[in-house]
Amino acid sequence: MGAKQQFVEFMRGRSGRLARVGLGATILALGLLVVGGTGGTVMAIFSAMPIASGATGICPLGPLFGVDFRGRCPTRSA
Amino acid sequence: MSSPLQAGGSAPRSEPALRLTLAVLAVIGLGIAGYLTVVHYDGSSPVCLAGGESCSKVQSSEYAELVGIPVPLIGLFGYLTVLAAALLPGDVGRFGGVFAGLVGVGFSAYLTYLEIFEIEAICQWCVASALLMCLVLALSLYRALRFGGVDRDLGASSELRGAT
Repeated sequence: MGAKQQFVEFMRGRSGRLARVGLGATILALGLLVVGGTGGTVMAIFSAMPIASGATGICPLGPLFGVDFRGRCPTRSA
Repeated sequence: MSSPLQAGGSAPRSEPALRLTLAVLAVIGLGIAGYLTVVHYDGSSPVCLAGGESCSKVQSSEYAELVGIPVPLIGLFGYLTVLAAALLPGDVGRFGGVFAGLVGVGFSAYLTYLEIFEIEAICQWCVASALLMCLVLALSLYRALRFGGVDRDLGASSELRGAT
């Protein structure tokens, strides 16, 4: 199994979804508490992307990795 | 029409009802944000149905604009995104709804914080919009979690039906 496929497999699973929510929360906290200003606001808005992705199991970057928006199979099989 | 939250086993049939509900909420939000945008550019005071000057105080505060953009105009754009997501089928629409809902609720929370602690006045239009955004996020999350991947399942099952 290639590194890209391993990455996709991980991201599709429960741990990957949690990691996406964690990444989003980190970006949100950094944007609001550390960066601040317009840059921080942009970071806060951007953070909704990985949080939404982790919460729903839908990844808009999926096609970049050769899979659809939900990985190869829906999250309900996870 | 049965409530989309009482979908039970009829998932494919009730997602359109859920999308319609989200579209109606977006149109109500567009009405609120549109009214406040018109009032902002008109220079007049918004009608406060509960009476008092709270809405005018919020509308004329230094926080009424964000980096030069009127806050109601940002709300208008947000509700347009919610409407577009409600009209879009499949996972793109589902994800767009949750994304717009998350940003909208976050922004509404920030504005509510400003109203309570900085401006010290509560605008009922802003409260209505914040509640609307919470509802949009809840329904969008439900839509994504309940119906996510349904298109793929339907496609697979119809393929199976075609094969038999």
